[in-house]
Amino acid sequence: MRVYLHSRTWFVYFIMVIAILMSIRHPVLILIGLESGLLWWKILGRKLRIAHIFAALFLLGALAVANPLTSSNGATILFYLNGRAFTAEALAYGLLFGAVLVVTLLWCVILSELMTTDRWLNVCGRRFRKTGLVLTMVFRFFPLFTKQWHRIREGQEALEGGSPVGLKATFRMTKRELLCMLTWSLEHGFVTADAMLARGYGAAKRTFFNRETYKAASIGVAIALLAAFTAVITLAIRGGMEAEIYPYVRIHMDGVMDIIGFAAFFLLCHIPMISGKVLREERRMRS
Amino acid sequence: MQNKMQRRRHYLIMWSLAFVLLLTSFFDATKRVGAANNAQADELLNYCNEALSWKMKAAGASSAQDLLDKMAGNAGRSPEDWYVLAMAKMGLPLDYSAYAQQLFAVCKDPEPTDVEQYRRYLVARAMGYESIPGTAPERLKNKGIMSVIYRGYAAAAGRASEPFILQEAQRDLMELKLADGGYALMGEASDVDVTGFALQMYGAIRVASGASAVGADFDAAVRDAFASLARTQQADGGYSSFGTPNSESGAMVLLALAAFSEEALPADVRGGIDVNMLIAATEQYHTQNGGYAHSLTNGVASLDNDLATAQVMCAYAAYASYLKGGAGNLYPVKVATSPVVPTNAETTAEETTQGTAEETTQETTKETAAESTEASTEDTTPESSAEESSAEMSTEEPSSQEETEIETTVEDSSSEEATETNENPTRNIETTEIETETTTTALESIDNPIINPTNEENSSESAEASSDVDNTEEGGRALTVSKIRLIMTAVVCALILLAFLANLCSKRKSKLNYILILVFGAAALAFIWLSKITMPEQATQKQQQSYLERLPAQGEFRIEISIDQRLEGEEMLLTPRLVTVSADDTVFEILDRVTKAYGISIDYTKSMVGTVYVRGIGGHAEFDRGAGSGWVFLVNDALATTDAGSVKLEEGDVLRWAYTLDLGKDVSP
Repeated sequence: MRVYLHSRTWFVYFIMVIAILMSIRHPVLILIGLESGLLWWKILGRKLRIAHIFAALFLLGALAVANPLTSSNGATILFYLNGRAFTAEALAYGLLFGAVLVVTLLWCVILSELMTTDRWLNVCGRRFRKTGLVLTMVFRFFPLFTKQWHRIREGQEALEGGSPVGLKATFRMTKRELLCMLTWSLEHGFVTADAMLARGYGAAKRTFFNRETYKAASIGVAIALLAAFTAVITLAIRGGMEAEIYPYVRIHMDGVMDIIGFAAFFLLCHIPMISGKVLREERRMRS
Repeated sequence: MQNKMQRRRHYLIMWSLAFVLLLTSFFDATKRVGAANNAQADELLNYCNEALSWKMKAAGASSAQDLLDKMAGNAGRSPEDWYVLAMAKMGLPLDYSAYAQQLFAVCKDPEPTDVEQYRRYLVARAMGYESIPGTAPERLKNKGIMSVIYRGYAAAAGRASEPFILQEAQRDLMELKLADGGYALMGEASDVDVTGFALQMYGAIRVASGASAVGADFDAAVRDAFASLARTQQADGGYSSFGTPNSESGAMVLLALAAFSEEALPADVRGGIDVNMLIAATEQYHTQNGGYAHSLTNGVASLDNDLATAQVMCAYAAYASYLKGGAGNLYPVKVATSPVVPTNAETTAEETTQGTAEETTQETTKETAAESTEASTEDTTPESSAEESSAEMSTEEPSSQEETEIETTVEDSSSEEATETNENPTRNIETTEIETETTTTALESIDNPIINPTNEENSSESAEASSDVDNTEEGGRALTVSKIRLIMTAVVCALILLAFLANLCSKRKSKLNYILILVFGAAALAFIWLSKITMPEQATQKQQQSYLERLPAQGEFRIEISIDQRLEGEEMLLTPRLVTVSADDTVFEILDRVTKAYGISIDYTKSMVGTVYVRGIGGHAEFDRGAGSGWVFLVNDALATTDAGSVKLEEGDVLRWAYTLDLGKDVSP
């Protein structure tokens, strides 16, 4: 099977977007990140539950209030709280930081959706085989563990005739479940190790099989992504897209450099979405 | 018989003449006196112009402007500054910018003496400049009498923003008074020149801090000084210094007389010195060329003296200004306003009306004072009603009552602030009762333009109380403590609701989450309602009253503090200034209070053992400008090696907070 976009291109894409969101904290960039993140969310066919929105708003609000309580940096004093200045700038910084956190979390969810285990292996490639192995094992561990736990619990509940009532019964049940998990994981470990040995793990030379190859489209997209990223970073270093919070809130968003930077980041976020082939491929892989 | 008749006729004519004279003098006495004064003033200004033309000839200048530009080369370094003062006082329409540029350049001189730096400032003020760029009010380096006097002039001219500097100058000079009432550079015998200088400063202070603020000691000191001058006036009206009759001493006395307005000095004190004789005696030194000599040689004034001419010009210009009813002070004086205390607007308004009224006639003083008091009564009555309503509100509303109760319980733990803030709410309610008394006293005081100090205290207190009311009257814009509490409560409630809804809508609902939300929400609400909220204006006012407007008491002293963020093109956060601190205050406590007094925010972390680390001042935080950047403090130019919470200062120390870019290496000299 030939893939359209290489795993490393995907990986670089996510790293770039998240790095820009976290390093250049600018409200417009955050809005662009939110828009493209929600677009991915839609493309990937996830439902946007109202609980997510509530949780995101709570996070935003809590951080916005918490920052001025711990830091009284900033020149505009709103009032003194227990003798410490509560400044408008610290409040603004808390809001901005909350927004950055929410959008970054959104992008991390998308990253975990799109960066499947095989992609992680391909990212690490021939050179970082061990890292790739460990990573895939770690990524596989938690879902496997919880899935197995649920299975065991269902079995136990079927045996006991319902979920336990009372603290003591719950404790005993959990103890039994833990024991089951322990024996299962030991056994599973043996099975996995035997399977690996049977496939030749630990022999003199290891093989690496990768179905992905670099196609022209992949390289082209990668170059476009790199160009957009370089543009954004260069403009930011040159003083564009500046959102100063301290000592006074000054957000620059109408200069030439700012607008070019926003456009570049917009392109960076949307390049993989442009091609219908990529989206079709993703849908096919997920179905 | 004939002789008798003749004598009678003569008597008749004389009496009728006297009667007519009396009538005319009765009807337009003021006009006549004014005319005489104006004539004398014009005469003096003529002498000034003569002297100026002499100087122009001596300097080879074609016009006064040319002379000024020629003198610019020596600006701030020579007695020629006196000519600039005289020209400014004469009201010549000149362009002072070239001279001022030179003066400002000279002011960058790193080690000026007290007298130099203040004189330069005064010349700049006389030319119409508010301040000298790049310099700050400096500390008094020595306690010599001329330093004290010039400092007083400079403070009166608006050099120092702190009102206590005026009080201090007044106190320092009164301490230097000699037994005979005069002043001298050294020794026990008073000197005419120095006494004249001192009296000019008293006059300036009287205008600057207002007639009601100076006190009885002040009046006595002025009276004594003038008495000593009256005693030493010679038979010909002139004065001598160190045994030599000279023109400058007379000029100084004339300047001293001009520095007090008509009503500022009792007639008997002013009358002790014969001004006409004094001017006549000074004219003896007038040379044929138009200039003035320092002293007579063989009874004739022949040698023109630069300094003598300048000083006589100054004296004549100032006295002419006084005679014409204007400000007689040679140096410009800023009329009492206290820009650092914004809420005392009412009292300052009264003071300003008084201060300006001194320059006009007495009748207008009465009128304006009456108007101002009337206006203040008009202002206070609606305020008092609003106050009452707010007081009622606070008693009716259970929430705000709780608030005050809670505040008192919390503040018991914090020792120092507790007593003050406990008093605040009660005082606010009490002032509503006092308010009515104040209005009646204000009505009574219409007849009496001088405000007695108790009345002033009341009005300032009511102004303090009314500041809160003003805020609430403004509507939704201004923040008040209760409004802040409500907003914060609303925010926390919204957050609790969000968390609840998020948990409710999620797939996995857990009871523990609800419990956590409830516990944290309750804790946040309790925090909001238990913590003490102070508005920045209140904090500023409190700290300023306790730090700036007060002379050091027992166990207290002054230190100099400055906050330098070392940014190009920006003013320092806090230019060097003196603050009164207690001996127990640590450097951090001083910083905390001073920044509160000037509305600067600080960001700090305090450890359990009491060490303090200041992370940011005025929005400039550590690491803002590189890894080695942050705030350090220097005591007497020595970089501190310990934290700000453990260093205590001594009297006269210089504390400098500086923003370093390289771990303090770039700020320590």
